[in-house]
Amino acid sequence: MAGITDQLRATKPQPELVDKFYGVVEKLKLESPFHCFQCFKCTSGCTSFRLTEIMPHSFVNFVRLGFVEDMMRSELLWACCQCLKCKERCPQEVAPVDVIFLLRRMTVGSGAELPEDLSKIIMSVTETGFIQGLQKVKVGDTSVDRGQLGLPPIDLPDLAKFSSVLMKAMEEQME
Amino acid sequence: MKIAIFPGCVAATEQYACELATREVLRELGVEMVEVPGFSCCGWPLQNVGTVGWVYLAARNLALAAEKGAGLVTLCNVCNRMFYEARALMAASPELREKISSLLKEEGREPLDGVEILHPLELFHDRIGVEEIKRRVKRPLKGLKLAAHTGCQAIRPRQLRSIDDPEYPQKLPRLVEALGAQSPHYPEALDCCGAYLFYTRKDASLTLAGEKVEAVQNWGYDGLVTICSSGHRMLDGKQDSAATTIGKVLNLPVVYYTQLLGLALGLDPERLGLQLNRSPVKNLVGKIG
Repeated sequence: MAGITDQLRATKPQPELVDKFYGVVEKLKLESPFHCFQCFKCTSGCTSFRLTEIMPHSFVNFVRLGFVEDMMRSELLWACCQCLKCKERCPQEVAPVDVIFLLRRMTVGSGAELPEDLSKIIMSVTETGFIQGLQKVKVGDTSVDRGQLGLPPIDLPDLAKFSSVLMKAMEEQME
Repeated sequence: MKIAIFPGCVAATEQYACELATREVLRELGVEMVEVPGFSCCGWPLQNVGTVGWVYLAARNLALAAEKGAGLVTLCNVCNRMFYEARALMAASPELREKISSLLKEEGREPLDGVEILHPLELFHDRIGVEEIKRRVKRPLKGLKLAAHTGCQAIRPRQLRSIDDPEYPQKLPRLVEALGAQSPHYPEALDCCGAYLFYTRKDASLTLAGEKVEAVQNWGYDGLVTICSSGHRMLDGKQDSAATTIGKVLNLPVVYYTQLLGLALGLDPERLGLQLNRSPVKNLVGKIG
């Protein structure tokens, strides 16, 4: 019978993912979440916290305690707006934003789906070199493109080669 | 000083006024520009999926500029940060640097260090200089009160590089004041435009943009000045959707600093792409004597 204590024990620290996480931190010389002393300064100044439930100190704390997978699965991973205030202001030089982005890479690497719009712009970068195709923009009742405005062309000269090297780069992982 | 303009995705594919105005004012100020074909995305979106892919894109763009012996001026704050961050990561990790080198070799390139990465604030404020800009002004923007939006990614984190003070950025206000306008500080000056939440939390992103515009509007400024194509896209390009999202009426003119500078230098508004701004910039341009 599942009582409240069983539910509290439902999640256990995940040592393999912890090793993986700290392996990347070590390799890329990122700031270690281990130094966090939970002052909440990151969360109190967090831009996204005003609008969503994201709490950067909580991501750092759960990772520190070994609950990496729980954090990888959190929807709130995608609520960070990357204003970088947490990284700037941390008295312990922990970078909650870097913890969040490493968790994003780990969760995508483990097969989780990207948010749809993000996935679209990433596809576009691999296919065209940019987050979107060249847009026509409105001027009064007509629309114009780069060339009509007198801007130089921006197309990539050897797109096929660009795409193939980029795809290869994306298959190489540090995570 | 040879400069290559690195537009980044937003200016290259949509925010054409940003590149137009930058080119016009740099030409007018006598800055030598070099064309570098083949620039792509800086790598930012790929930061969500892996390290090697995005660092490769950043390093590739830096290598292209190095081959032409040019410094880069970035039209988007994020691109600027990504270039510095890519460099820092390659310096920290020999394994990463090795991977990037061999990928660049496949394209026949070498990872070239030492390319100068300039933010427009550094170019205008530190290189060309406030005094020189003041001296060149033909149409002073007297009587205008304009809010400055420096943007998050240009000033943080300070460990990476120091373009301006991360908590109290003053270069953009000073550059605006060099044109004869006033640019007093406002409490929301550090508020985020929401650009990089747009792909994951659209409503929150537009709320951030809308609240920023609303605050500036309520303080009674004549307009808001941007220096980053991604921020401008939110505050000007998406001002209407942001207004709908927060349920308020927003009609604040938003201009690029380079557009404003161009106007003060006496350049043709159309060459500065002012017809492309989505916010009511006519209200602002009409106030210039």
